[in-house]
Amino acid sequence: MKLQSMRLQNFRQFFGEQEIDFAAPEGGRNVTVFHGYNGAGKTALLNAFIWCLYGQTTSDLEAPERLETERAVAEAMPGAEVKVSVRLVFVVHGERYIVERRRAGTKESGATLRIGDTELSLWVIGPNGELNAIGANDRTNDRLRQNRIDQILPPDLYPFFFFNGERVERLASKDAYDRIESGVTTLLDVKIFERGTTHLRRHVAPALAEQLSKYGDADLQAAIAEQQRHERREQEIQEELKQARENVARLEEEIETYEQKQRSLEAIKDLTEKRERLRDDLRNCEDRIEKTDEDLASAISRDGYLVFADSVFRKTEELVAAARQRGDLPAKIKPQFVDDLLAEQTCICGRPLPPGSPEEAKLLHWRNATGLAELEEAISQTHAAIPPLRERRSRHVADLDRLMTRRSELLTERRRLHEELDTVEAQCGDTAYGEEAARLADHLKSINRDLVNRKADIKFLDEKLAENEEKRSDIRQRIKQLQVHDAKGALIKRQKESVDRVADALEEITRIQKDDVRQDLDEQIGEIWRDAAIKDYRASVSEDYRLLLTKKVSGVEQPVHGASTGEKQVLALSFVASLVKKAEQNLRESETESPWDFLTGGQYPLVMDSPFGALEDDYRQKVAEWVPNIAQQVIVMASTTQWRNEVEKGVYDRIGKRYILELHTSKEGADRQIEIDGHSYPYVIADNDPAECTIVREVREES
Amino acid sequence: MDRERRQAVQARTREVLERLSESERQLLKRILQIEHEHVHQQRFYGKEDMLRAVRETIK
Repeated sequence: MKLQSMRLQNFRQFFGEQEIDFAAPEGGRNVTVFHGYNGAGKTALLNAFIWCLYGQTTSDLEAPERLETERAVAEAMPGAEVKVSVRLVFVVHGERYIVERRRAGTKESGATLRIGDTELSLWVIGPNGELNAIGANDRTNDRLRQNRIDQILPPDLYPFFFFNGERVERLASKDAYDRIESGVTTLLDVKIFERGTTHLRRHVAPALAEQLSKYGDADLQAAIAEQQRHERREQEIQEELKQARENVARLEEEIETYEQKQRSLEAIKDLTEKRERLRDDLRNCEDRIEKTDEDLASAISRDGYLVFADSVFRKTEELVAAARQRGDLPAKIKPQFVDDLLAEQTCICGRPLPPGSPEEAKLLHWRNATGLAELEEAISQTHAAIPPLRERRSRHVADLDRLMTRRSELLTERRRLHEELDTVEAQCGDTAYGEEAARLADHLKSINRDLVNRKADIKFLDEKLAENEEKRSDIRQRIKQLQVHDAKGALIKRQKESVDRVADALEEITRIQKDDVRQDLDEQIGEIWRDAAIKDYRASVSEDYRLLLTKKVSGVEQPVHGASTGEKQVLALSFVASLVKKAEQNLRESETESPWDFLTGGQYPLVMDSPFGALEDDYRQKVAEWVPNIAQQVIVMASTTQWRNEVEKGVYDRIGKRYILELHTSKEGADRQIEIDGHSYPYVIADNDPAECTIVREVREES
Repeated sequence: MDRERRQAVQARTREVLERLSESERQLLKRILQIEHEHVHQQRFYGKEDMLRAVRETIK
């Protein structure tokens, strides 16, 4: 999606009709900047995009029901119509679209407005510039038009591309995991596979099963009914699991919030710091236990059999010694020696050995008696291998002793750390440190107890799911064996079996794709974070799509506790950037080598309100340099305090279009100027009109 | 590395597809096409399209 232009009509602060052209993605100057004073309409502009495309507004927009500019309402005569609209022009896969959302209200007495219905228009611009309206014959068919827009950019994705930068860290919060997973799977087209599996199993297979049961006997009908019961049970368990995971994420988030509050209490500062150290030590200890267990498993699988081999060694030695004593070993005549005599037809004493002679027959008899030579060689080699094997056995036993001792020490260490941690946690809630400390500790204790229970719920449900899956698979096999009445029944049975197989295949492909997407995102976010971050932290995406920030403690990756808002924002921005990159990469690949009949991935712009707002100075410049590279097209709204020198310096060469949101206010003495590139421009204008409004002014280079 | 992983993903996907019959592969592609058209919808409206796809491909 390439944004080309926007037309605002009486939308929030933007009085009358105002046109905005966006910087094109091509040519390196892909950033459009809007400078605006507080209240000039930066958030309103972000909402203009969202309202136009989806008819929604963000939660931080005050009085979202009132979209019409106050001044337009104030100037209208009673009974007159006040129109509000936003029109957006954009290009997707080479096709140019115009979307317009509008509504008309009627001015009543005072400043009240009777708000009318919202209408949506969508046109595709043809090759000769002609406008082809979508759903043109049905003016009321907004759903059709909305569907088309939702296909271009699904509504659950817009929070990733149109967002308030001051709150972007929410994307990295634990309660956003579900949204992240859903967004990632939709954006990167995994959702298509996931939904394909679900819909085949929940809608298509049951419909076929219902038809099939009419073509079979009581056994088949009972089996189908049982299969449907298991299908329903699986859906229920999946729902419960989703809920349980949300509960765990919510509790973990609560724990983080309460611990953050604890950390800010001066009276228990030393204790909370000690707790963090102990937790680091505990995680370290857990990692070492895991490593020791791995070493033990690998040693046992490599040399474990040697522990039981001593009696075999002894027996072998006894057998060899006995054979030697009897003179069986070593054999007295080697077979090669006899073979040579037979070939030369001459004995060692010089007597001839003609074929068929009694002498030759005698020698052949001897030759057969020497047939144990290979065996003798094998016995000799086995015997020679016993001492090194004995030595290896001793080393292995010593290794096991060492590893077991180490494991036991680590388990003791873990127990000690747990006890110490319990003590410190109890101390944090000591009333001697004040009521607030005691209250927080109480809350944490109860949330932690709850967390243990909720985690147990997940484990229990996982087991139930596996059990149900096994039953489902058994019943499927049983249905396969059962007979149907006629050819029609046989066809439906075949169709049902094919649907089951296709659903299984889709499920497997979903797993493959999900795994690939996660690994790719993990690599991308790690790389992007390294480029933007100041501290030596590592950003990654976990197996369940959690955004993680970790640091190395004694060589082991540990989660970062108490990351600053700025750091969380950079993490969230890194995540968005990695999504945009992956979607672009998917599009490039699907254009050339996709096995599917549709394009996957896409190009997306980023529209950010105040992305530098809560960043520390160090991050501000870094992010400013980095933001233009995040996406093919970047639109930024910022106030002068957010857009300081370092930001201007970082983005300057990439700015393609620049606007000032010129705020008109009745407040006396409110006039302000803004300095851009050595020139001064009106920023806030105090005029006589009692209703505030904003005019969008383009800053042109030559001015 | 990227290239290798991509090829591995494609190979694994191919392997899964090869376990299906030709008509089942066609059905799978039709299902994905239907999902591609409906993926943005919260509710699912493609059941009849899917059943038609089954009837047309598995005979």
